[in-house]
Amino acid sequence: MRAGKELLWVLVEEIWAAARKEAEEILNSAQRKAEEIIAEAGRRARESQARKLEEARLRVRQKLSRELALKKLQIKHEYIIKKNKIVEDLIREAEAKVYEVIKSGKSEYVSSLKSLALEAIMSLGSRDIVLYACNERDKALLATILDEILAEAKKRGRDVRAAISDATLGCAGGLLAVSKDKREYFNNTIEARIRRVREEYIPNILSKLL
Amino acid sequence: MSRGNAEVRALELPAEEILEEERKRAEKYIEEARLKAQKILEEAKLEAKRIESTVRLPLDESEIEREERAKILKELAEFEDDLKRKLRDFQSAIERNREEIIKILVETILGYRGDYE
Repeated sequence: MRAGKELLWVLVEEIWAAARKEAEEILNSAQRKAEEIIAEAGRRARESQARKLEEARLRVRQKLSRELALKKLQIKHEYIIKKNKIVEDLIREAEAKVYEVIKSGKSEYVSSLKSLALEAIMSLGSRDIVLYACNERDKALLATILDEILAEAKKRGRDVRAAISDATLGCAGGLLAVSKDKREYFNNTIEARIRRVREEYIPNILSKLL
Repeated sequence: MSRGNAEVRALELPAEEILEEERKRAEKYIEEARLKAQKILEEAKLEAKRIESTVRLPLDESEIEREERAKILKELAEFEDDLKRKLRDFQSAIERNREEIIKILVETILGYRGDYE
């Protein structure tokens, strides 16, 4: 009788141990699932919040971007103006020195006139060329160096005939070379060279130095 | 469930009945656990809804605009500083090489140098 009772208690304990285990598993599982649900909701909420915030930022950015672009353009424009002024000051300083050389009419300018005439002659295809000086002084200077110029041109493969026009151009310095048939010309006046330097060669010269 | 309870009843009921009754009580105990679990899940779902509903609240765009405007102003200031620095560098490079640049320009204009070499 005693042994039967003991067995019964054992069985009852087993039933309850199994029940407690199952209940505990059910509750633990529910707890885990609940935590997952809340964590997932938190993650979705954070993502959604971040998305909404990003969309709002984008809307605001788009609204402000035109303002930003305009201001940037303005700043860039001011920068370019200041940079150009620096370059322009350089050119003006160089121009002043060039005009001093021209005004002196000394050997430095004679060499310049020779180089400019030679360059003009070499650049034209024609064999008969008329040279136009800027003024009477330059016309006389050109006459004294014409043979030298033609000899140098011949040495470089251009055997040409050149005459100096009676007419003058009224420019500061340099010269204009025109083919006799007037089909081509090469403007090598100082004014034209300054223009070419300013428009075409300044960026090249500066990029080599800076 | 206490052992004492079963012990008292064991004196009155046959073993099979006791076991059957204990099984039923254990099942009820488990069922209660299931109900509790269900309640935990329902509460979690409610909490999830509450969490998600907080993001449905409208954003304060004026605050965002203030932040973005501040960023843009910072960006502009950096852009301006960068250009100012570039201009300073350019200016000092010019100053360092001023004589040489002027010399090249003069010689180029006067034709001493080759074709704008």
